[in-house]
Amino acid sequence: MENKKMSVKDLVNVGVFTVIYYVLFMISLMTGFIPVMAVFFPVLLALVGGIPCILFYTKVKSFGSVTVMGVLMGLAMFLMGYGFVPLLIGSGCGLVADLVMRAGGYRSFRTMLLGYVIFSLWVISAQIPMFLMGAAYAEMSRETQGDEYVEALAALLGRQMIPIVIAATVVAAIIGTYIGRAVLNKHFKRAGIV
Amino acid sequence: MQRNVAIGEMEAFIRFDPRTKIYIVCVLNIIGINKADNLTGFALGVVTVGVSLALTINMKCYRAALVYTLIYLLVFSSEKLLGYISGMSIPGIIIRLLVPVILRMLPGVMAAWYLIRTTKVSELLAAFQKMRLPAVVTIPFAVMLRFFPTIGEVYRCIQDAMKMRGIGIRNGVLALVEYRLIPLMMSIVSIGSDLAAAAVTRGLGSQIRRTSYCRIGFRFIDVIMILFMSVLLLAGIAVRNMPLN
Repeated sequence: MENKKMSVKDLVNVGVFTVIYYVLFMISLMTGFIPVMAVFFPVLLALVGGIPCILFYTKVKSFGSVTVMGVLMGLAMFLMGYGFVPLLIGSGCGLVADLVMRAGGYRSFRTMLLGYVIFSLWVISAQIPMFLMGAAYAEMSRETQGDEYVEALAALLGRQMIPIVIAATVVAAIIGTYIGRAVLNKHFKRAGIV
Repeated sequence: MQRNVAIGEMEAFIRFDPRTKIYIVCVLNIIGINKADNLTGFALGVVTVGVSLALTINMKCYRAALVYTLIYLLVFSSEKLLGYISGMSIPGIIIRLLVPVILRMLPGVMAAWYLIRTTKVSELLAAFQKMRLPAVVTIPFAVMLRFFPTIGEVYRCIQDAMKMRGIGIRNGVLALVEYRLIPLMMSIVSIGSDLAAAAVTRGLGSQIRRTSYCRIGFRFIDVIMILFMSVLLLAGIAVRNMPLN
């Protein structure tokens, strides 16, 4: 069962769930207009994204689906002008998450939880340019805005934020998984979709 | 569908091969991520914007082209205006965060939009097959493209239904998730399984190489475009490796 090749149904499923996840991603990204959320939107995505992702993982039966979802999200980011980095990190996170879930035979909740946490981290790749260039960017407005402003902006955008965002995303992804499971039990089992 | 933005239905003045369009998207996305500090970089930026603008005009989206030009002029002049807006105010922060992002990304995004709007899904699939991309990636990608309008359609129906039941945003964010996202997912999943059945009927699952009704091939105009984009790509890489200032 594990070594079965992906069928067309699996491929269509990947596409469908990636679209739902992508829409949630765009909604989270839009909250980035609020300045603090530009840094912490992966947290929101990890929380809400748990619902489609956990439903998706319960439907996965063969290796590859989760990897392809990562690749597709990377591709979508590439088309949105984020460059190649999200494509690489997205595929990588998808592959690792897929391997983890395969270890649980795609049936164990624990590996699903771990897999979703790993998968959720791909979003950080969308922010890497911001973190790497943020400090330099803040520096540009030192003349007009003063030292205090530069330090505040650099503190928010500097690369020291990367571990904080990762930690927050991990916590949110764990909560998101439980939300996803609760929703799954409440709605989808009853509707006979799972 | 009331909206006329069905994917791939746009007619263009000059029709390019889908592979040429993919190449344009790649090049613009790569050189878009550039610091336009020196004069060469600036000139390159102008050419990049020009290309994406020409593509927008090519697919006959004149209004979009106008808006795009205005956004660019606005964003560009806002960099000059920044000195007058306090960096601590909310608009100041937003402009500061968004302007460089928009400057870098917009050309690539416009090219991607062009690719998606002027290429039929079956044309795109045929092109992917000629590029020997694995079906594991191309089929879900095509499904994604097909599902974006569907999601909008389904969402509008759900919104109407929930309005009738009196469930709106005032019931809280959780209700929004439970009564919007979950019905949406349910419909999309069942539409998805119908689509999977339809795809099998069309022979997507077979081991044999598919033939396609869409005839795609490189023409003279494609060659010119590819050469031009290659020059642009090389110039972009050269500018990036140039010492700043």
